[in-house]
Amino acid sequence: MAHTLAEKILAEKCDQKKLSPGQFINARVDLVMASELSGVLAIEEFEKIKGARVWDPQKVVFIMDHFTPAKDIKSAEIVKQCREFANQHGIRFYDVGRAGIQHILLPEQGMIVPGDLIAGADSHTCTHGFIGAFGTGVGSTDAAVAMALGELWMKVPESIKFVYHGKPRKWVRGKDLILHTIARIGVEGARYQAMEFTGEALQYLDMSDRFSMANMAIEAGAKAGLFAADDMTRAFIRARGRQDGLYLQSDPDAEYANVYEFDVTEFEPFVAVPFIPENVKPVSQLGDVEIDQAVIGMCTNGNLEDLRAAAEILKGHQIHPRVRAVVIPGSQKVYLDALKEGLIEVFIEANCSVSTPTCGPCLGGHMGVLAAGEKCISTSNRNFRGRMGHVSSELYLANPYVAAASAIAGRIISPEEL
Amino acid sequence: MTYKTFHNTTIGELLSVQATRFPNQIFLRLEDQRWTYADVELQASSLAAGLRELGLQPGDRLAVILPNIPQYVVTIFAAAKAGLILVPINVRRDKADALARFAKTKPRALIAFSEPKQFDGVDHLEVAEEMRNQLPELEFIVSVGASKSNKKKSIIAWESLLKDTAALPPAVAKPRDPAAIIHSLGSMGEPRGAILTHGGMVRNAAAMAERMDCAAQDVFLGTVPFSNTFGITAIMLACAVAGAQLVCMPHYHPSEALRLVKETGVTILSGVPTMFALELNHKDFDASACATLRTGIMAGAPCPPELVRRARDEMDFKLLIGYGLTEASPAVTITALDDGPITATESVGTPLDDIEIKVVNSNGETLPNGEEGELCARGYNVMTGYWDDPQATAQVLDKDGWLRTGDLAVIDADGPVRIVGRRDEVIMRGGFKIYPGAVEMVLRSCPGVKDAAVVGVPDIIYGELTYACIVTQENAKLSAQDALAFAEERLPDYARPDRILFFDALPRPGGVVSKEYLRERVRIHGHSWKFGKNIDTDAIIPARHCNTADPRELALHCMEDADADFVKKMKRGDVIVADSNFGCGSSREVAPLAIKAAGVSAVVAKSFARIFFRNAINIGLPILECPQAVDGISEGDEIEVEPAAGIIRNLTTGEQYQAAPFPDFLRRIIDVGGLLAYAEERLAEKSN
Repeated sequence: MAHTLAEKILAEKCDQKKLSPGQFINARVDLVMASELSGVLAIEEFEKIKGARVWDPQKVVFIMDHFTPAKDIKSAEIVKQCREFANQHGIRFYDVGRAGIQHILLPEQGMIVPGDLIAGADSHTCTHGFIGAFGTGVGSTDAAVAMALGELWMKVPESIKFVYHGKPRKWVRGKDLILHTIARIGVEGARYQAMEFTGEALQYLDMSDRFSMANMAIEAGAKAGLFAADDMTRAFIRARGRQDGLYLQSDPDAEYANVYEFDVTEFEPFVAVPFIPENVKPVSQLGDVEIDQAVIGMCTNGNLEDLRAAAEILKGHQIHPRVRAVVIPGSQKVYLDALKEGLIEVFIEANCSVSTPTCGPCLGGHMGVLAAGEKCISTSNRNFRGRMGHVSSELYLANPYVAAASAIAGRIISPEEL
Repeated sequence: MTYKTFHNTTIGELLSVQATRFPNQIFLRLEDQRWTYADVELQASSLAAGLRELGLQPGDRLAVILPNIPQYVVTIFAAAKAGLILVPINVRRDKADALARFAKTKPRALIAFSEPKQFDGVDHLEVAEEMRNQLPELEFIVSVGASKSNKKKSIIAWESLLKDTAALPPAVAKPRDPAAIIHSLGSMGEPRGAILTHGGMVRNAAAMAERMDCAAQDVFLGTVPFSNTFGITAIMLACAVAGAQLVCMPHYHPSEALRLVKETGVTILSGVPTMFALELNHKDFDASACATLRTGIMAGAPCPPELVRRARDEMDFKLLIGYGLTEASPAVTITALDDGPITATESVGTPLDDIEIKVVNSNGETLPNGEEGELCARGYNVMTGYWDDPQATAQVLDKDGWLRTGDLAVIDADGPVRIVGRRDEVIMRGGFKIYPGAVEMVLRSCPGVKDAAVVGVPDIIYGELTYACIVTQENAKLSAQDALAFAEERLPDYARPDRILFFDALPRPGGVVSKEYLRERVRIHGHSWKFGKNIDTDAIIPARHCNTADPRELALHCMEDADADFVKKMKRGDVIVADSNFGCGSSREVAPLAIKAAGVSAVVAKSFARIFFRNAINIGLPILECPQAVDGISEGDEIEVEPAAGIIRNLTTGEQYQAAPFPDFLRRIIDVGGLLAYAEERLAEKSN
């Protein structure tokens, strides 16, 4: 029986030779992850399970990233609760100064390898499909039970295949491919399905592009967003000190619910306009959108390659006098590498503020919340109404080239216009 | 035998009298250890002195979380001698349960122990320490037995409190003073602390010892926890009244009970019906080993006549049936040793001396014998009220001292009382009253049935229908028809279940079947609320709330806000029909909380496997995956759903839909009451 990549990973995790979409399974997880936001609820649920202990402290990780460094007393207390729980159970705990945004930190620290099943109490856990791991967002109750049993029940999703042909032009990145894809299928287009990204266009993109694409699979409603692990993945994983992992591929005759083909040669950078990620327009057709703020980094585009892209545009420029720009590296390591490469210098000279790693403004938390009526271009993944602040503020999603160019111009432009 | 001496006395005086009368008689036994009445009197007085020396004053509350060990008995008498009010908590209760019971009673001291191995890893002393941080009044924690927590300075060793009895101030308690606050549950499951008096408890114990004709040569087995009135009054105090022996049983297990009966020559075996059923069905059960048994009391839950008969026959002893409640210290009625076979197995006997009973209708008017109504009781044994809860007290205790029991009963013309059901659980089907307890008793006696629960569910024609939820024994082949045929032979036609549904387990949070949960599992009737895209907190929570770091706050806002107006309009029984993307993204925690709070009973969705639905199962929402139903239902349609059977009916259009069946493990998750309950079961399986 032919299997897709998603089915193969899940079959490994429940010791089944055959697995079909729609089947319910109880799978072994390789890692359970939570932030302070979901962790505090998971703890509450976990403590309701009489006699519960963490099934394997090495495989449960709490990463403090949403409202950290604590933005107010409440966030400080929630982090404190997580810290105390972590100490009590001996689980892995990443706090301010030693952490980063969870999805960037996990692969960076070599905590995951291809073929892993990751239950993350965060909807963007699908990110880890970029190395060929099945990452999926779970509720805090599921996270609590996974912490206790090391298991996660789920329904095997159908798979949809996306084939990208051709060589993308300069300024086009993974972010543009995924925005275009979501525009094509809609925010419901992959509801409870696994998105599998393939095609020769991928050879022109790097791991950070794959990262952005898998990261936004949830914006199409997907259960997971997967790339088959290949030599590029192997090099990435080895550089992070891991030799192991399951390098799986879909069978040639595997069944897909749908197959979409795209020619990326004609793509230009795309922008998702308010208030839903499927409202996507080519940047050239956007018209005149003046901005008040630009946010570059966070999880979707917070890798070193993303900061390099932004710095490439900003070098030698200063941002528009009306605009505030916030650069948020995805982790302490990304921050340090960017510092060593001189990228941070470029940002500061361009009048950007550089923040410690945090999810901060992406969910309207802190570090760049918007006032009424303000417009912002952001490299993040969601532009729902009020997502970054006031209900009348507007959020436009784009790649780091576009965000940086727009910060300079004071309105949303293509880097070509500079 | 009558025990007039103890008709107006305190718990402390009871022990002193017995220690003078039978100083060398053995009172307590635990394996090879023995405590005479004189030993217990000395230790209790010493402990009382120690507790007073700590600074505890008469009227202060002393909480106890201990298994049935000799030190528990000593503590009960010590508290009485020191004038302290005992607040016993069952060792199986968790921290939240205990805190709920301490919120009003505000104990100044807590006596606990550490034995994590016996209690799923829970160290009661650690829990006690945690509670101290939340309870400003709780000053002292006393530890019984050695443990690592014991070495902490903040915890006082029980032994170190055994002071010279000369330091004990003279007894201050009078028989009408409160001796204990024992908790029962209100109709919403909220704990209420019944204040029981010394005189009420001791005389109630004496009355039971009289009915059982107990004497000093009797040997009682301490099966039921001393933290409830059955254990403390009907077993421990009744034993003391008789000057008899009490074999302590720290952790109840049927094989252990059978061993102790055989090895220690137990004469008085009491327990809840389940204990007798477990003992009789145990592979170690040996009728000849029960030769010493003389009598005992079955009480604490409806007692199936077939089980009473079996126990009386197979254990060959005169088992009595008691009826009581925490608020009555507990015994109100009990059968007698010389009752005929029908009275002895099918009634709860007659009231104890000086306890009055009556049966009233819903207007509170007294009904003649033979008519059915709510049983009320009055007498020395009735509580003085609920601690710090005049409202709850007024609901059950009238100005003339009558206690409303909430149980429906008939007083037969010749005296014995029959309990027919709980007032709040009666099913009204087509004008007939059906008592779930009676139907459950029949079903439980059906071969192949392991457990059964009966609930009433709304119905347009009959008002309510009777649904029976059955768990079968392993390998039993029992069809719904078999069970119905069995019930038809034994029940009047109107009381036969309308439908039999099979479950893998019944949800028993805290040990009692959750009928509310079951009702929602078997049948729901309401209107549909149909949603398309993006029913999500991103849609229903305005942005101004989005920067709170506390997801629980979001759920509250979700309820408060105008954007979430639909949540406010929903009624219990309503059904959400979700076209797509229900509660995606960051709202997966929040949407179900808010929707459940609004009282929605079910969700029918195109695909229920969205991440958030699992939390919903956990909070009791039955979810069905049924794309056809989603397409065939319009907003506002009248809907009937049978989640356990996977049936959805659109009463407006007359269409019926069948949802996809759940796989076994998922069904189990739902049946046991959610993912957390399931995890608990799995962990228990692993540790076995």
